[in-house]
Amino acid sequence: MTAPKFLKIFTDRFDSSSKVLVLVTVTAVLTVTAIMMSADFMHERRINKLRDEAQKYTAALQSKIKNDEEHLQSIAALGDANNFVGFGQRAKRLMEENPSYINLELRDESGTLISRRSSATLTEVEPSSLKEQLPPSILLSFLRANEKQSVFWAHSYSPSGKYSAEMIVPSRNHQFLWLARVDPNYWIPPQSGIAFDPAMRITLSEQADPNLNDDTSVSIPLDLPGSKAYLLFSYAAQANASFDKMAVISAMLGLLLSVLLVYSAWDSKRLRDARETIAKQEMVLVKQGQLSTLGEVSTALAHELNQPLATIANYVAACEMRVKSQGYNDPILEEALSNARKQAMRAGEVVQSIRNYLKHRPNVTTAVNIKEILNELQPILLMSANEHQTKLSIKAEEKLSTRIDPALLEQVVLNFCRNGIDAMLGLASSKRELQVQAVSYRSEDGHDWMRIDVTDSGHGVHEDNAPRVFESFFSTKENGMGIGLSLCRSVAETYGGRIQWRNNPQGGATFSLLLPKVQPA
Amino acid sequence: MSAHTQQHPIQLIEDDAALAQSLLMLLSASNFTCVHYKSAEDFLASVNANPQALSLPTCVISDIRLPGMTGIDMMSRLKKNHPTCVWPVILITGHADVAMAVDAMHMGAFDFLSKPFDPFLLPQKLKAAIEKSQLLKEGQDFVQAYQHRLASLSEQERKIFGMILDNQTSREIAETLGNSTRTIEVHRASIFKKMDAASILDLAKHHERYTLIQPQV
Repeated sequence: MTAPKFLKIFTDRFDSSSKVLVLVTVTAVLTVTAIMMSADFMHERRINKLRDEAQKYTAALQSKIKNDEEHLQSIAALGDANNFVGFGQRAKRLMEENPSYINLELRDESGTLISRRSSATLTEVEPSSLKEQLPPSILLSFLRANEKQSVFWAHSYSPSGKYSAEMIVPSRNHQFLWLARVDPNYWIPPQSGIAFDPAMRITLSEQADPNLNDDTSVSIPLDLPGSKAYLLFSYAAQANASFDKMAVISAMLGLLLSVLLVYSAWDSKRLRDARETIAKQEMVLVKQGQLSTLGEVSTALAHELNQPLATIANYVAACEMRVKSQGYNDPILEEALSNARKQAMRAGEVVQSIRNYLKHRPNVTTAVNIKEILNELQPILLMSANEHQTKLSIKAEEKLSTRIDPALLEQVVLNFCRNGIDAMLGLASSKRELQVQAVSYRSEDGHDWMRIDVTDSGHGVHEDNAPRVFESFFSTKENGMGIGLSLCRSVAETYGGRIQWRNNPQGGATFSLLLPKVQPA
Repeated sequence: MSAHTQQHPIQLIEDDAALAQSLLMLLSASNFTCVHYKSAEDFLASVNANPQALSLPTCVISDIRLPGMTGIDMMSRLKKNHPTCVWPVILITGHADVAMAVDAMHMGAFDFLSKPFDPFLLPQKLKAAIEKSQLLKEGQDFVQAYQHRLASLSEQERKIFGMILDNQTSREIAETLGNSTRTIEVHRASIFKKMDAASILDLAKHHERYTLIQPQV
């Protein structure tokens, strides 16, 4: 998985150290906690709000019902209210005023129907033809209302199972009772006419909510004497669920984002670490390369200068001898010649001491495993090869060892490879191939060698240049210093080895480093 | 300048023409005769063409870094192919690496010089090398002569010669061999004459020298 680019831009800038990893992780944890806590808090608030609204609504409804009760009581108490004609007129008016009444009945103390008025027709029903008795569920409340001379309630079910509330109001003279069948839909918004949050829902029930403990709904008793009824308040189910989903989704998104951030920071840090390691290794090699190059330059310079200096000294000494043997007695000439010779010697010493200074670094000669060295070099070789679109293959025999300063061995291999890569720059990139191969080899005189061959597919060594390949300060490259192969030869000679090269018949050249093979440590 | 015991030209191997010329002039100014080769291969070819010269006292001066075969390779090949060669080798190195000098001496070089060397040191070193060559030559000559003398002894005389070297008196030898003392005395006189010894001390000295040199030859 690779982190998205925008994250990379972000993390590249901010994750200067692994501390940021910790920071991001902490942020992630905090974010998740905050989201969870806010969800919890929201829930709490919602329930509280529901409870408040429920209490407010219930109080309002109760006072409305009380009003209805009192109004009906006052009408029932009127002198002419209980005769047949009076009831009919008043019931008609009442039902026009208050649509919650389904019907109104006038009954005697025993519960026998005297008159009835139904809202559906607003007509009076002939009581004699009905002779209805009250159902038992209502009769109990009816008798109690009569006994206590106060309003009582009962509930009834229509044949279709619809719940209705029955309000029983005794009249003043103890002979008649009014019975109003109330449609409970008018206790619930919007028919109730009481303001209520539309996100919430109210239902009427004979029982308290069994799910009350889950804190998602509230039930409040209506306190109707003689009848049990509860108002159940809850949020509309759908709104509730959608909020939870949102919370979960945002929490998950936050979490995913945090994970991505952490991953991306970790990933880019790892990448940068790898890059830094390679860069460091290359720095070390470049520095070593510069040092060995400088050492080799000084060696070559010393060689080139010492030769003529020795020649000068020899000629001067020959002159001195001749002056003496020919019997010239010329002290001034003798002194001049002697000084000339000494100055030539001094110049030689200066060159030598500079060279000794530059060459003076500890050589750590150890038994080295060639495969290990090549493995260590691989990333750097690959880097240069990739830079020049060159195919690189590295092969090494197992358990192949020699004794050398590993840093110098690396220099030789690097020099060979760079020469090879440079020699292929004129080729199409599909034809650029560099092979590094380490093998054991027995020469004709029976010596066992470790041989590293570096083969390129480039232009090879031109016939004219063949004798000068190892010459110091000789180069066919535009910016070449002419030190690389000279250095390689010095290294090989120092450790009892040699350098060989050949042009291959199929094109390109192979340069080989031979060093005495030793038993692996 | 005094005459040297040099019996054959000094063999100079140097690829740098200017340096070679200056050395030739220096050596001739110091009354040495000298032959110059441009490479170790040229030198070895000339040696193979005239192997008798190898027993004539002189010395070899060779650069270490040469085109083709190096001075060190040349030296080991000379010693391997011509064990009777009496020519010490002085190596010239372009860079005075202690390690290289130790290597050169270890491989049997007589001496080595690092460029640029004090030209006045060269005649001394050459003289020492030629003296060494002379000694080698004398030793070789002595061994040859001694071997020749040994070969001239008869079977009986060789037996008695061994007993004399064991420090036995004529009487003891006579007893051991069952001869008369007089017979042994006659043999003894013959041995002294054939071995060119004036006394028993002479005889022992010669033989000791022979046994010392012989393993080298």
